[in-house]
Amino acid sequence: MNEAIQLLLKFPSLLPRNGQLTEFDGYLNINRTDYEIHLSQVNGKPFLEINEKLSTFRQDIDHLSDIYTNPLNFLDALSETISSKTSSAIKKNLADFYRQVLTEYAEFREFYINLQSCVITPDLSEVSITTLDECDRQHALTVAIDGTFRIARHDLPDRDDFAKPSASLSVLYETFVKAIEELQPYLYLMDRFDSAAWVLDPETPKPKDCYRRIAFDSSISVVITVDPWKPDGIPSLQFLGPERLTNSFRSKVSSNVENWDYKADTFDEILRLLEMEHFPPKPTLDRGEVVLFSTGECCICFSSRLNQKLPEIVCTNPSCEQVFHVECLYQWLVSIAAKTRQTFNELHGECPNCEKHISCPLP
Amino acid sequence: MANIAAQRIKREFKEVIKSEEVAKCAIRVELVNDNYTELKGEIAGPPDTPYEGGNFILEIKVPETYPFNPPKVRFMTKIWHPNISSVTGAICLDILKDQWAAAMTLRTVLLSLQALLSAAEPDDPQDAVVAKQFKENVEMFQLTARHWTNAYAGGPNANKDFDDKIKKLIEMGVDEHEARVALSSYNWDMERATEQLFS
Repeated sequence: MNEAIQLLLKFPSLLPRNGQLTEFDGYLNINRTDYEIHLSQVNGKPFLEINEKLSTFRQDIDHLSDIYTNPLNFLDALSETISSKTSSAIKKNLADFYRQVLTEYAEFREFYINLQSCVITPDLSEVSITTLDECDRQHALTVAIDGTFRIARHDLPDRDDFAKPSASLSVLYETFVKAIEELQPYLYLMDRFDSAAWVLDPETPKPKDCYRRIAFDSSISVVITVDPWKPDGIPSLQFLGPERLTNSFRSKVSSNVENWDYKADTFDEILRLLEMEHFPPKPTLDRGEVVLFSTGECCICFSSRLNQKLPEIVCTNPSCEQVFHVECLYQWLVSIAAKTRQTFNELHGECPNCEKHISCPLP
Repeated sequence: MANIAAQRIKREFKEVIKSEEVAKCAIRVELVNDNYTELKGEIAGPPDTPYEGGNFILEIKVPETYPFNPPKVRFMTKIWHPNISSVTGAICLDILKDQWAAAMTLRTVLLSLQALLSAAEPDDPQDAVVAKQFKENVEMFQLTARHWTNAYAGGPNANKDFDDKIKKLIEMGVDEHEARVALSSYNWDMERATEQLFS
């Protein structure tokens, strides 16, 4: 009977079905989870009916029933196995964690009164914050909550310290606000491009976009890329257009670049680099007049934007100078394969407009 | 239909509609379905040719790979021309084949076809019978082409002699078009046409 008492002590919710202690019904409670048990004996070995909850331990059960013939030892070993396998999955008390999050969130809202909006999702997984900078530009920040706080999305150019998680929402927000402050000269410069130049790309600029493709006229444009964290430095300038025009700009830039003044206004310095008084304004297009395609539009697909890209290739024949998307020209050269040849990563063939030689990088 | 194809055809369609040639009634284009995959073209026979005064209807099918491949065009209106099949309306024109370029448009295709009507290329024929007649007896070719224009494309110049010959064959139980084809192929020689029709 000693065994029966031991069993009762160890597994209080398990009932023997017979006096020989070979068959049991009831529950095993391991790590706050109940497992329904029906244990019997088959061919001198313990036999456990496997139900849904136990199915994850099927292999262990098969293994243990081979080792232990005594039902008490079998159950001992089984509960130990299940216990060790489930202990890591027990979560910390979630109620405590959520209380912490809510306290942090409430304090944050109380402390920062000038937030434009601040919302926490009902499942407490994300906080969305918008704030205005000194020039009334709106900036959005989304913080993910998963054990700690972490910046999930933001509209600024990226920075290493944005990736660091923090135990405090305020610390993260301070990092964000500091970045906005640091970015003011950059944002101001980009705003000036957007208001004072004919910007082809991006179509709707965001603070993240640290480049502008600015058109001088319908055939030549420049891509100006600025380092958001060092906007007073010399930006990278890439000219796009027929060579005879881009070459003259390139030589202007290379002769003026040594006089770059880091203390002067960057926008004015860029204009000085290009020997321009101001950027040419965006022409007012009368769409009614444009019938087939206008200058600056790809001569194959008759549009300027294809999969968000603008035409980049210009026919070098001065009497043609049509522009093409890389994708369109590539597909065209492939479709007239008989007249096209490939050297390294370029295709050479005939321009679909003037039939003179044209080359296209592999997309 | 691929994005590019639909977008291009829409623009080209507008271009044709607004073009001078439409204003002069020289070319026309109409939509057959809403997704711009099939169109109906129409070209006027050029002046000083046997096709003058006729209106020729074209079937234009835009492939999904347009503009990387040419549109598929054929004459729906029956026509007597060395580079156009008198049976199927299939056209032999380089720009609709290997000389196609992505910068070409519906308008340039229609104008090229109109130009083809004024300047046949008998050395690169689609219809061997017509091409042979064109090379051996150009006057007979012109009369025949003018007669076909009158019969099928609404041309104003009827040829009484030809019409009578066809009428005679119809009385003998021959289909009108078959009669016309047979007579045209044998330079309007009744005897040889009859022989061919009844052999």
